[in-house]
Amino acid sequence: MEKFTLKTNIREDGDDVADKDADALRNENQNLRNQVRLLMAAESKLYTLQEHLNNQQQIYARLADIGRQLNTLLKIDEICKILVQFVVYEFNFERCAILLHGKSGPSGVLLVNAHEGYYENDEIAAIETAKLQSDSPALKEFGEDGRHLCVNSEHECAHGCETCNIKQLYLVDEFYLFPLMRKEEGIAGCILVGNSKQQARYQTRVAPDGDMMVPLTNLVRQASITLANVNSYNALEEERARLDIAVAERTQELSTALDAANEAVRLKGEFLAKVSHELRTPLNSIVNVPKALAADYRLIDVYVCQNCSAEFQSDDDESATPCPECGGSLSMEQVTVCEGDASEHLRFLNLVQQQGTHLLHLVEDVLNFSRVESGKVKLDYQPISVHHLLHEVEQTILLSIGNTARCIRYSKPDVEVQMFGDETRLKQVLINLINNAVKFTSHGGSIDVCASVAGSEINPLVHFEVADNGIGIPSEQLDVIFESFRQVDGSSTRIYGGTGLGLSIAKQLVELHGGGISVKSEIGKGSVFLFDIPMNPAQTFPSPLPAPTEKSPEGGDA
Amino acid sequence: MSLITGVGFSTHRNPRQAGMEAAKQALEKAGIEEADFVFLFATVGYKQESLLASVREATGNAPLSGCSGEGVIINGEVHETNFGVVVSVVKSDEITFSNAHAVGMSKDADAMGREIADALKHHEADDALTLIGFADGLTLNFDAMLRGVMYRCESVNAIPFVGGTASDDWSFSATYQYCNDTVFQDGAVVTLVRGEAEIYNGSRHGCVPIGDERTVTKAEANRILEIDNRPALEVIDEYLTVEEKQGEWSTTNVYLAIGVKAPEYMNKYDDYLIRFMPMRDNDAVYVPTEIQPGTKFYMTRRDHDKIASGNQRLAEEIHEGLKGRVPRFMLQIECIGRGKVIFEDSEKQKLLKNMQEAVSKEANWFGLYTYGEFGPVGGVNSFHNYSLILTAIV
Repeated sequence: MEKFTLKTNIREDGDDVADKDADALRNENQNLRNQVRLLMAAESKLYTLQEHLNNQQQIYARLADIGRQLNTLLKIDEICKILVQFVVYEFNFERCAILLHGKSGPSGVLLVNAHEGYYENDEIAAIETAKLQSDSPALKEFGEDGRHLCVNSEHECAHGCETCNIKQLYLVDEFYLFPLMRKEEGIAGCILVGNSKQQARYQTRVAPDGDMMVPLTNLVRQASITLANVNSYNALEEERARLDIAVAERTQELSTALDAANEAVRLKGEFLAKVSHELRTPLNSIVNVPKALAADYRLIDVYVCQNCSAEFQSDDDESATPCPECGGSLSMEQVTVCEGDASEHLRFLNLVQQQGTHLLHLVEDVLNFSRVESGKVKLDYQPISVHHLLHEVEQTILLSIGNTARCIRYSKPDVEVQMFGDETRLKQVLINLINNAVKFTSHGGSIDVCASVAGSEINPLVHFEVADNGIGIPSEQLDVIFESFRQVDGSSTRIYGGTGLGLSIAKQLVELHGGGISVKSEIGKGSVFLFDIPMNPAQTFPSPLPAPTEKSPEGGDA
Repeated sequence: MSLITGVGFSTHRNPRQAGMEAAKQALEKAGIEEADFVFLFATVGYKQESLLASVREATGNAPLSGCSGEGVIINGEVHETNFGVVVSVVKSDEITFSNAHAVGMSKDADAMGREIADALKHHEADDALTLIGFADGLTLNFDAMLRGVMYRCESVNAIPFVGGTASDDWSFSATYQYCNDTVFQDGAVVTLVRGEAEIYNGSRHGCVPIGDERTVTKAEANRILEIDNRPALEVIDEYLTVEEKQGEWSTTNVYLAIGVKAPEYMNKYDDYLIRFMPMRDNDAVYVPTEIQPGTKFYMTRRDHDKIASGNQRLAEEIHEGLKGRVPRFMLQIECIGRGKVIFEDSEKQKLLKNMQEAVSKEANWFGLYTYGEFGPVGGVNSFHNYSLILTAIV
């Protein structure tokens, strides 16, 4: 580039011409200087415009990027973190904080969910505990059209203390505050963007018509939509998860109920099979024994004298023959004669009676169970003497079982005890328990039946125990032994017979009285069945009573 | 010769994290756990003390020199933002780095320079390769400072003196210098590099003269009071529009600089030495060096093409000197007037990349944008403006 040099005004020959040249050159130089000046000014403006355009272009490109990124996110915390970082790093503000209603904090308070630009420990501590009331006057600036609040360094506080409060809370001296996630009932969140006085000169400044207003507003709008979508999505996900759990629970309930129903069907089937067998056994005897007895009886022809009533047996026709005794006329009659052993017959008849009684008990069991299960049993509350009850039980056992080859001992309270209850049903319970004990105790074994007073003065109970030294019950059966249709041995080769309803009936009858029943047992050593009955049905007890675990001393708690 | 370097960079806004990130990156790239010496350049958006503390912590408190800049430079990238930091770590068995600093440039730059000289004792180093200096860009008096730094040496040009002035974000309000744990202003930090090695450096500016030749008719040290017997500000106003006269000086002074006729020994460098005018007051404009009455000069402006071609030529010269060797230490000092104010971002990155590749593709490159540059020309330690200074150690 050539240098421009003014020609000096040197006067020589032809000065008039030279003067004119010099003037022309001076003017030309002046024009050139002016052009240079304009060129430099244009260059300056061009640079400024170019920089501005480049910045705007970059900003909008980044806005598009972050828009795409936000659409892929489903967590509020992640979205908020990206937003605050974007505002600081791309828009070049010093600080940004997103305020939302806290999940664990009080309602009506906006807490900082994410922040960027707070780096010192005291700044971090301050921002993370900052709270803004939802009804803050500053937030009332947010109009229906989503108007934001702008407070720059020249702003004179028209809101009294509230703007100063925000400045102090969020450590900024100039800021924008945009509404975020508008709800029908008010502001659910907002985004604060700003600078401190010390750093403001290095950052994008807050101004009502600043260059960043449009992209910032776009970003906030996009963020609001994204957050609202994520909230809706999360709500749907929560509902779906809740429904999943409900469905799983319901499925489990149905499955359990199905299992229970299947088990009940199985048990009932097993019960029917058992009962069929149980019923068939005595019925076989009842049907076949008379048949055998009948075989010992036959009809014979007997000739009876019409005159002296003498009887003569003959295989021939003696109707025309006179009576050998008196010569009277004979008539023929048919007579049944027994040719069997009478003692054998008696044995058979006893057998029929026993089987019939057993059959009767079986049918009674089934009928009782049916009545109890269907809730048709109504207790007949009457005063009962415990002594009398035990006496009745003892007699019934003797009559029904007779000599069981087991020692059955009855222990009554030392003094007469009166209680209220249905004597028939209580007797039934004790008889069921004693029958069971007999069934599962071998010959020579012993069974103890006790009654005593237990409970407290306020809640007196009568405590009954039936203890045997029989085969005992496996521990895994103790929880289910009172269930309907259950027997200790459920196999088809069971030895002990019965319907398996006795204990279930006993339990239900005890519980109808407001009592509770339980069992203790050890294999090979025997079992103890215990039940308590409130002495006075007018007392308020939870129904049924908790199952007794041990005999309680009279007047004291168990 | 073993000289390992690594360069790290960060634009994190948190000063502690930025310093830590840049320092750890540098150490990782160098493949070392501890450094013998650290250079730190950072822009002024950071809290400087926090940034320096984190770099020191990450580098095991190795001795550190550096300053603030308007932008920072690394391999293939330039970042002219308010938040950028570059850390260069050095480890060597054969080359040593030591540093010293002092304050008081505005009061007495010569005395300040002497204080540094007394601490650094570079005059005693037979194997001194170069001095690398970073000084306050607003109060610099280069000539006085150089006199003071070299006062015990046989001449002010005894040891090559490279470096630059700290800058800020064009606001000309505050620049920062770093020496070990200290952040300071109105001072200088000088690093002595000594050992068995070769050093290559060069400088270029990209300015062209405009208008008439001018003469400084009244000056006091680095203050120009009159030009062509007229008030200096009045003459300078001839080059400005009405808006520029009323506007910020920091905007105006980007486009104008003083071009002083270069001495003969600088023939290969350029016809002019450029002097920026960072400040003005009601009566005068300031330049970074002392200027004598009678000095002839032209107003100059930066030229796009001259800058680009100058970069490339300088790179090729250094490459030629290296003779195919990869420099282990590569420092770039660039004037802020050659950055985003004249080049679009993509163009700027391309210029840098071309230059770096012309020197060496493998070198670990680091640098910053300054308000003024130091570099020898023709064996004479000089101050430059609107210039590029490259220093390579191999």
